[in-house]
Amino acid sequence: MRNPLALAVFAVCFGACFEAGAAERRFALVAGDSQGGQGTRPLRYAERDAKRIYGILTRLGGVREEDARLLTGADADTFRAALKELAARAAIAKAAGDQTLLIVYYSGHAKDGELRLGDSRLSLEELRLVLKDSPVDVRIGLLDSCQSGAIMRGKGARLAPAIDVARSSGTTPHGLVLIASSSADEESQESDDINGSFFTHYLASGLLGDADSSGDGKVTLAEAYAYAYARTVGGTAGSRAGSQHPVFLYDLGGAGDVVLTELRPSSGGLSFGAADEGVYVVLDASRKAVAEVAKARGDSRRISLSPGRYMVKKRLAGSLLVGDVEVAGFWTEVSDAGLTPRPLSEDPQKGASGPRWSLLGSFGYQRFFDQGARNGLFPPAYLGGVELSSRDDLGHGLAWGLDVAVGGGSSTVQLQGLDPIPERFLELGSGVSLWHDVSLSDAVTASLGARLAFLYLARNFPGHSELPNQSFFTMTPGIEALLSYQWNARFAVTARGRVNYLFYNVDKNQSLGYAELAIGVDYAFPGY
Amino acid sequence: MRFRVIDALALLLFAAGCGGTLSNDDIAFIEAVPRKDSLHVNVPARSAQALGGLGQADVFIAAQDIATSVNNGLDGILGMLDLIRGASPATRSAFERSWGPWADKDHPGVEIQVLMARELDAAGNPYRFRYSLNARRAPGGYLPIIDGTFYGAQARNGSGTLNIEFDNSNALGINKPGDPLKPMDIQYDLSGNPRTLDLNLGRNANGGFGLSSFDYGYAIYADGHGLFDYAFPDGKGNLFTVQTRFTAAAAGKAVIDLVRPPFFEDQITECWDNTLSLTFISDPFSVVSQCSGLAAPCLLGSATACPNLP
Repeated sequence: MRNPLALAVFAVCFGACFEAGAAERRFALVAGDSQGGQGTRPLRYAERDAKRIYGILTRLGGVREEDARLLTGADADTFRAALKELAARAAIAKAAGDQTLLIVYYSGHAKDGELRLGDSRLSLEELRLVLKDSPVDVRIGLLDSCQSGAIMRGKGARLAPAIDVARSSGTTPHGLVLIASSSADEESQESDDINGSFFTHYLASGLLGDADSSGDGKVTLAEAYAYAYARTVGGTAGSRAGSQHPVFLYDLGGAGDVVLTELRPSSGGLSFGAADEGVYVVLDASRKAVAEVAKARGDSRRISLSPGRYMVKKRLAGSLLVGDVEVAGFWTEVSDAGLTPRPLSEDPQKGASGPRWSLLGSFGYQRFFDQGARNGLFPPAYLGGVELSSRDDLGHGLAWGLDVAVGGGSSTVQLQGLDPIPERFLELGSGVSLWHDVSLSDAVTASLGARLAFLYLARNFPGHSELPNQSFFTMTPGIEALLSYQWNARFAVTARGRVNYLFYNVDKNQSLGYAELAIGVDYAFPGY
Repeated sequence: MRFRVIDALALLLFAAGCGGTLSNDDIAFIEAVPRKDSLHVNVPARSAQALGGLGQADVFIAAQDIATSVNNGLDGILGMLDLIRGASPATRSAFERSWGPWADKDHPGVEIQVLMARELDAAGNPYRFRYSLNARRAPGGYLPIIDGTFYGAQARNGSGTLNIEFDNSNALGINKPGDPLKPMDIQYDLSGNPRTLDLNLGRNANGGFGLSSFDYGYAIYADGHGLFDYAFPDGKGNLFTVQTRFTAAAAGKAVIDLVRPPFFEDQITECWDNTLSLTFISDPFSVVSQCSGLAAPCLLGSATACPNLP
């Protein structure tokens, strides 16, 4: 039951409730697991979801990093151990007089009343009991998994757009809150459009500030749930699986609600003024949604973001408004007037944001497979080069690049009956590549593509003036694979492998192959 | 013939642009041809300054000039083969290379080509190379100018022969002033100790390169001592044919056959030290200037002063 009055009352009382008097200590266990073992298909965004929540809780949620645990791909025993360890630490803090709060977040598979962490299992009942019995003032369980509402089976779980926050007096909040992304018989859904699960996406957006309906710069548990509920139901209404309804179990005594995140002025972010209305999607540098803001005209919203460059997208009836913004420790105003109209076909989330240019500097090693070819003709070489690439230019995930490389070294020519002949060689290469990027996680991208290169080699023979310089040139096609780790918004570390074909035709006609391995640093140009 | 996708791809790439001179086999062929400076006569110069009482060893000093003439002649011949070092072969096969034809820039209307073939032994090692430099004046056919044979893999430590067909170069009008008129043979063996070089101008009655008609022989050992057989005339119609043995420090011994037509012959023995000062003269007929006025046979100095040479 929606209870606006209760929310308002809580907002007023919060400062005098949980924060009053004693020091506060918060703990968080955040887990994401894309694997659910036999009979399940890997989830695409579970681990990304976990990282998002972890980042929000440690940045805005008052959880110190030493009091937070992020588990990705961990098994149930590891989960249990981490939970036990945090509960113990919380108990110590509580014994010392601190107000304590423990948040457990899980994103992954669940089925038949069990969380599935890879091939291991953790029953929802066990988790509920552990939380219930933990010696912590406030325990909050957030589960984003299919049928996760089963954790409240028979315990009074409620399907409602908002938590009823009753005001008590005299004591700080204490008790257990469980929030599940879907009811006991519903699937929790992921979306490629938002690069995450619906529930976590909206929960995160709310925690970043969009759920701050009171406008006091604090997002409470009730506000976050109300926001996530409404947006999840709305966002999944048109899906093939049907609407998804988050549920909650609220057993909190004392003075009402808990503030989950606080939008500190120093944290910086985006500010959406009262003049505009609509749904704004905030994308990071890799074009993944990090937050949404849904606001009515007359409301103002602020969302707190890490420093960096972002893109804001607003969908209109038949077009888009798109704009680049930078967050650098202050509030950046976003208004429709500052955004640029674009056709729907240039939706940045669909990879049609226009080219994203970057420059890769790399250093690598080249080696021909054929031993005879390595004998002086094509000796192993070290190559340094640069590659200018444009991502998402030809379509979502499609990229092309132009590269040049120079390298060389020294070697010896070993010919039967002849003394070894030293040689110095130079190699120049230039190619054009086309590849497809696949995001393996928030930070890791794998790419596979093809490349056609022009190769020029030249060698001379120091100390052998009787031998003329030699050279060779050819076109060499190949395939390449890249693995990139996005270090930050601008820089990525890249490992690249290529396998190429080369047709040699001087001494004899010969098909040769060679491989190149390189590592490099990719710099993404500003402006997108 | 089976047509494979890889062949089609290779063909496509070849059509798109593929080629050059990157060739290990080219190196193998070129290394079999002696370089211009690889066949040289090197006679040691004096290693100290002093002059003894018997005067200087003019015969050995003359060897320096003769060696220079021999080297210049060899350089001229081998320099023609250097054409292949600045150009990519025109044709290649597993056992053959050809260069040219080029227009001879010094002789309009003349074309030059170089052909080369190699033979491998059962183990795949180079056994013998044959090469020829041919020239023609169109519309005539090619005439061999240089015929070479080489045994081994690299010229600097193998053996071979060079036959220079000066009669053909004369016929084509591409000879240089002073060149011999008849064929000349060169043999060399750089594979052992000593390294030997033989330049035979015996078929040329008038010699060539400023040298007398003679079979010039040279050998040099690893420790620097060697021998040099040569001939030279004097201005009085005498022909001196000389067999020298020398140390690395230039001390030596020469046996000089003096022929004065029609019937006179003398055999003179001279020794000298590192300063090229004569230490011993044996002249049965007292022909040399140091013996002038002395009774024959003329013996000056002591034979024990001659260097001990193998």
